[in-house]
Amino acid sequence: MIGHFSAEELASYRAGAIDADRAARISAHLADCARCAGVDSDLAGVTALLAEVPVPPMPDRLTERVQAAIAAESQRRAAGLDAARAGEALTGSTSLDADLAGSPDGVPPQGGRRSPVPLRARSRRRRTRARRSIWTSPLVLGGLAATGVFAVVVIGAAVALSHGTLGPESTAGSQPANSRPLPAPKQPVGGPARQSNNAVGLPSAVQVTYGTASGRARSALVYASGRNFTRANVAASVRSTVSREGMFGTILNGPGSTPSPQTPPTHEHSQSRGTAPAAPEVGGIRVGQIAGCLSAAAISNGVLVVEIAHYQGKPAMIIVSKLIGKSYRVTVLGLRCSASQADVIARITVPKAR
Amino acid sequence: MAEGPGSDAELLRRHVAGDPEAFGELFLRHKDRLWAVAIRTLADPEDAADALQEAMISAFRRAESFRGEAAVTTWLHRIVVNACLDKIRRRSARPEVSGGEERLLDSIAANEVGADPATSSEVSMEVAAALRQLPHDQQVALVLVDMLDYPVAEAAEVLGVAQGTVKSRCARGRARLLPKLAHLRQSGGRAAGESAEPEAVDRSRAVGRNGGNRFGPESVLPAQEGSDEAH
Repeated sequence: MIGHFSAEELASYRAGAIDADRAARISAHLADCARCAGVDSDLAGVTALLAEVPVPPMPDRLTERVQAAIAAESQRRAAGLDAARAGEALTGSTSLDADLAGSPDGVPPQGGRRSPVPLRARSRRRRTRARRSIWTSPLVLGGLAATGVFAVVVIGAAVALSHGTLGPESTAGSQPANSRPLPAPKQPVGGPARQSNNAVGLPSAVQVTYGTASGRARSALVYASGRNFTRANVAASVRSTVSREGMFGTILNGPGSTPSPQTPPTHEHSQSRGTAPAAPEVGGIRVGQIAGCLSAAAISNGVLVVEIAHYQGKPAMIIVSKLIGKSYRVTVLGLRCSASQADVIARITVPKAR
Repeated sequence: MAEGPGSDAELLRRHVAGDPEAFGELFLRHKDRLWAVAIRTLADPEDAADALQEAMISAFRRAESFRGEAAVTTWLHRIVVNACLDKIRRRSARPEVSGGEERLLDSIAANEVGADPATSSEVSMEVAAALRQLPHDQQVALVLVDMLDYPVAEAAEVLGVAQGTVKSRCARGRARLLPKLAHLRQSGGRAAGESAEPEAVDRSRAVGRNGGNRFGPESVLPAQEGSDEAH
């Protein structure tokens, strides 16, 4: 007996993925070698084992969820077509109000005013490295929130914040984030801000997908609070934000903390929008800029929450991302940040300890 | 691919033309197979539904760009597979949350734990866990070919690669699974009892002792980000 074939070679033989000469040699060898023949039949056993694993049927609840998402998308499309026909200037801004706390059945409100992104822009290929889509994924975020492991980055936002809600007078001091409902930001363009949340006035949030240097797509929940972070209150604010009871959990589960899986409105932000309406914004900052800032900030562990707020009285983006270990990390970026420059104001580590 | 009324292609055309119901119909028509791909690739029902939903919304929007070179089902499968791979990458980009914990947390968030008794069977769980340790390309190839019995040609079309590539991915994946699954087949459990080749059960012991060394438990590779082609 001169040596044996590796399992991979034998598997390739079985799969017909090797050339005829080699196959003939293996075939001859198998006739003589009990060990290799055993491996060969074990490989057949692997396939058999895989084939035996039952496929659980799709639960009705999940089927309905996907159906609802498709129906909602259909409504948005119809609304976009209607609006285009009417020659209306589409505002874009309302489309970003993720209806996170409302519509417990997972179906966004009827009427379709919420997603005027034209079909033309949507149908274009946009598989860029920094693909930017906006949608909410409460389930995933819920799971992460529960781990309590985050890093926070604050990006300074020097532009376009809506003054009504984000002015310095809205300083929250050391008040924890969840001690009272936060006001929703005014939408700077277009019609009335769509305060689509429930009576307690939770801020609207969107999920922004951004690209990392390595080309991966990651996403983060973004919302505008306008509150003021300071060196003194940042730790408490961050802890409360990411707690189940805090902003994060409330956004995810609604004020009653009754988990209700929802069909997130799905929006995409495309750079090649053509005649598209004004780009989507959160707290007056274009989603495209936010995505660029996140990419530029090179946050290694994936951003989870971005809060459009203030830091030491100046407009800033506060980015919460996961961190390995038992600390939150807070990074503060100024609003001059862009895809090419992060404009980091501060990086702060906040121990998880309560 | 039939082109007649009610065909997939016709439904997609109606969708592109503005029919608000057409895409939902297409989804319902193919959801079982698409779901099977997603749940087998991702193991977790919530993740699978997320991926399926993302894929359907993406297909909804991209329908205009569908040129009909492939069957509509193949096109849908491809989008679902890509959504699943995205999901896997996002998972592995969060190393501090192990897969199990994460799924549990997701289940809790969805107010439902252990949703499906079928998926919680020990063998299924172990097979799923072993599969997840494979490079993504091998994992997906095995899901399509071995688990869901897609012909190699169809799997190749879904994955957008040559048939030979599918074969070799499957072969490498099976070889890697061998030591990981050997214990299932020698444990006399359900899988062994129902094995199509009883002979394999006996010989798996020998593999565990001998061949197993080459592919021992320590050869587990982390999920490889770079192993998938860009898609």
